[in-house]
Amino acid sequence: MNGYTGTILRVNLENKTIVKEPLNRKAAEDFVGARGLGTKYFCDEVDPKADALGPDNKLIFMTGPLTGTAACCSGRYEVVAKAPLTGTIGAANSGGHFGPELKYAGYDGIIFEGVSDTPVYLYINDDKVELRDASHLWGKTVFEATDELNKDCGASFRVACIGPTGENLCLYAGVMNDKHRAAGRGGLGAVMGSKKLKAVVVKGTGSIGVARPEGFMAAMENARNVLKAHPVTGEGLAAYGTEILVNIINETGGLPLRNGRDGAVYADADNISGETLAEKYLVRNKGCFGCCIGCGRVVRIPDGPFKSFGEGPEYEAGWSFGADCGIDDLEAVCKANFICNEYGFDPITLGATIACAMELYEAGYLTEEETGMPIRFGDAHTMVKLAEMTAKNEGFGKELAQGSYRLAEKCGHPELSMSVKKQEMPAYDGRALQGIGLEYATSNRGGCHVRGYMTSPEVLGLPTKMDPLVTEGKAGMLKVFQDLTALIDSVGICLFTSFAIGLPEVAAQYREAVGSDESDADILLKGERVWNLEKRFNIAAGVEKDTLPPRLLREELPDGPAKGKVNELHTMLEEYYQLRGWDSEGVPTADKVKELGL
Amino acid sequence: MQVKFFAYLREYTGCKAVNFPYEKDIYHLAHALCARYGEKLRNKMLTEDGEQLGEEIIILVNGRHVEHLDGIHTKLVPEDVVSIFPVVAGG
Repeated sequence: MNGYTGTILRVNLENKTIVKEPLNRKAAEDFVGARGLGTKYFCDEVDPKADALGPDNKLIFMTGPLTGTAACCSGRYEVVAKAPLTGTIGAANSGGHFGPELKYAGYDGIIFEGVSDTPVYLYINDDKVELRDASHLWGKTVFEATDELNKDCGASFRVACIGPTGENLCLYAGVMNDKHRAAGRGGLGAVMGSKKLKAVVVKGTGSIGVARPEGFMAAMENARNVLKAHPVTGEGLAAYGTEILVNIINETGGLPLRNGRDGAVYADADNISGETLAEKYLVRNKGCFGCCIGCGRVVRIPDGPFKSFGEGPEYEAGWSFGADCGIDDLEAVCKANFICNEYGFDPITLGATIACAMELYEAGYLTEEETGMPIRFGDAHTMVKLAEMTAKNEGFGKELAQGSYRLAEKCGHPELSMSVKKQEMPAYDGRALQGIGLEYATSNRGGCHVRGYMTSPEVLGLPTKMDPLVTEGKAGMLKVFQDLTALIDSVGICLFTSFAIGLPEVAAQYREAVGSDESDADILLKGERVWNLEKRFNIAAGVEKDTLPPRLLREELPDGPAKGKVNELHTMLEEYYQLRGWDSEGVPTADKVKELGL
Repeated sequence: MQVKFFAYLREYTGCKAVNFPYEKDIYHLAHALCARYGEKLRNKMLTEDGEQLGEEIIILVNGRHVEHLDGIHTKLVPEDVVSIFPVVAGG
């Protein structure tokens, strides 16, 4: 026993076969697990040119060697497929309890192939694995389907499923587990929907062994102590959740306002902040499996037009439905976020797409005839209505379900989509934070903040303080962050641990779990290997070059601490490629490929 | 001058923001704030000897982290807006 169960499930949805095959140990050694191992299996088996919503795409659920162990925050697993929103490799990470349960049932991962002719779900109860009819679940929301499956299979089963948006092939539908946790970005829920796979339910009674139990417990205890003692992971995130970022990002002048059209300083930011959420609406906080942080929010809007109950919002959704739409009504923001959980789609892309539609409408590029209603910044009721219409694939919601790039392109103004590789950038303005602009441009899954979180050094001062307005040093820091993030996503622990712990703690737990004697540097190299594997897939898939929307490169911020700034991508990108060992076009060189054994 | 407080620092100060008497630099402002708001704020704001800013505090002057200005010796003018956060993170 060494952190892995040693078995992969291969499920062919077309001919309904289920095969239990041994884990590819060499691939696990090289690519660790979860994001890395899932991507390795995927790249070995799928043509990069495959249609993301066609039968040749595969959908992989993969855990890591620390998933479900005693390591702190080890509830993570990864969903991997070619992403329909971007055409890139799609890899989305989720917490909750589903990942550990899959391992307790005896499986490191599941590979879904082909397309079913009728709706099905996969039932896993330890050794008993079967495809079952899901016709009665098709059309159900995430909450309805989860409740019904728990009623049919048993309350102790863990459920990962899609909502109606996944069935309707919304290009940013997610895979939802434990109702409120999401493998959210890139549209992997639509891949699941295209395969007519409604859900995976799992119950396991096994356990996960580690190679060196005493060493593992010591490494785990050390990491836990660091996490508990740190002001962010031990105090701040539990009290305020990720929404705590609203005010500091805004004060730094980096909170994109009204699709970034009006700069990045929002006078009403405090109304949508973590402080206000905690003061007015927070019921309690919540953690995932093995969590010692507890950043999750359980929230109630007690009355009014947006009366509701649910989980979230995270900072990103707070921004996308808030400042990005010019809205300071936190009740409306919460309501829109709950709709995303219930119907199973990505609140970052949804909010940013609505914001894009608002700008298109105000600029006269979208008419009321096309939208069915006026769509203006600051209109909270319209924002929530649009979220509902998109959730139900109704009217103009069908256009919004394609994401901002396709909408703006259809209107003849793709430059107004605040996206990279057709995926919407999150809640940090790349003009005020130079490094995060580089991160967006180079992210292997399109606009994304969790592929190398440069906000951490640029604003939060973790692990070191870097001036957000300068470009020096950003390329080198980003490379390390990207490689370390790939490693953390691959071992199966929460990325938020990295606010307190670093490579030494992650590597120590990994070594003791799998029985390795590799150095920290050797283990970090696995993260770099994952990053390069993803990059090579994207190149083979024909994904567009690394760049940013024209707004970030040419429109100066009008006010705030970063007044007058644009993102100076060109000065960082060349150095970044050099540090990566890539050529001037961003292609890994033969030497780098050989060095990494790809 | 305007001083803003965020997150649990608001519990220490009892307010979100205050118009505070002008101090010539961050060093003197930090000590004046600690004198008014007490021990909990001081424990976060300053090192034990009172000569450096604490590790668990983020101070912005007009949106710029004092680390990228002149640290605890950053000069102030009466029109400056000072924003004070505990170390926070999210994403």
